[in-house]
Amino acid sequence: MRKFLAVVLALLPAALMAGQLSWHQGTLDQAFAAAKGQNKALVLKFYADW
Amino acid sequence: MIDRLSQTVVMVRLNIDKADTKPFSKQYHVGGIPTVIVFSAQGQEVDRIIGYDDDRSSWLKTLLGYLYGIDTIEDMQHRYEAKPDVVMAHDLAQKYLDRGDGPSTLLWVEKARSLNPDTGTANKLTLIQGQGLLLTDPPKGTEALMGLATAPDNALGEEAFQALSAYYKRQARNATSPQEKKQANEARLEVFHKVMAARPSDPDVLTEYAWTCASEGIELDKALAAAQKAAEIKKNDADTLAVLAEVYYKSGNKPAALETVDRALKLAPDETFIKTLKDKYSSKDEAKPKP
Repeated sequence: MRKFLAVVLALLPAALMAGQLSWHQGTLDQAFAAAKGQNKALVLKFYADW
Repeated sequence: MIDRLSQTVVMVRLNIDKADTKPFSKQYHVGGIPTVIVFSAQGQEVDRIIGYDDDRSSWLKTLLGYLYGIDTIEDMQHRYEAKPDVVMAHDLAQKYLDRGDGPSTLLWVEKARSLNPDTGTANKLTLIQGQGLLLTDPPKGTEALMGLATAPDNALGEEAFQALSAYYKRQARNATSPQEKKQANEARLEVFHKVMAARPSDPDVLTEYAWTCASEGIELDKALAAAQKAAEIKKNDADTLAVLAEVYYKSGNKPAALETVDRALKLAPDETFIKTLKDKYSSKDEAKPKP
């Protein structure tokens, strides 16, 4: 399974992902609640404008 | 694949400079930008990625791997239990450090040490241990890292200095009162002073000190001397010249700032950051330099 996933991930072209996922618009608490309610993982990005 | 990922992930982002984000950056021990943290649906941290990766597909593979439970802390601990390995123990210590879990960091440092690491790994473990101590016993941690940062000809000196500087920078950023912020900034300046005394010809220390002073508008005379010295040591280095230009600018010497930033641009004509500085110095409507 590990080897299979590694091969799948290695073959994924980065361009597939670029700019095609949308960000949750609510608060962090709401995002956690949404993830739990929909049984989804949550990806939290801390960023800065500079 | 995108559809499948969108079906399994909620993505949210927080600007670290916004006031209402500060409690979260402190809660999740965010030390560098960007930091991406993957949580399970139950809200448990799975793992995190710190910093940019120029190779976007490599970064994406790491992220997707975490979503599938590959190379996460839990995965690596299971593999370690099956077959103890010094590199894996080191990597786990680093992962716990990134997460801000001091006790687990120190535990894995000891596990790695018990497996007779080579000199390079042992050095890295010493550095991780110092940073782990910052979390469990800050005075002990700062003492350990300061010892490494100021020891002559220490291969870990530069990294220990960077770790200490980053620690106080994070303390200042996460401060909840002006007094707390002032104390963190003063402590960071003290680190600069001590490390510069011990490593007076280290251009990286000199430029970081100069840049910090320029950003804060403090100790500008000393900052100018430090930036000039760094530019003498690291000749024809665009970033070092950019720092010198900024110190000139903040000191009110706009002609010298422009002349210096032009020299930097000749060396790195495509560097966006330096172009931004040039635009700032060239602008007629720029804010007045700080006194």
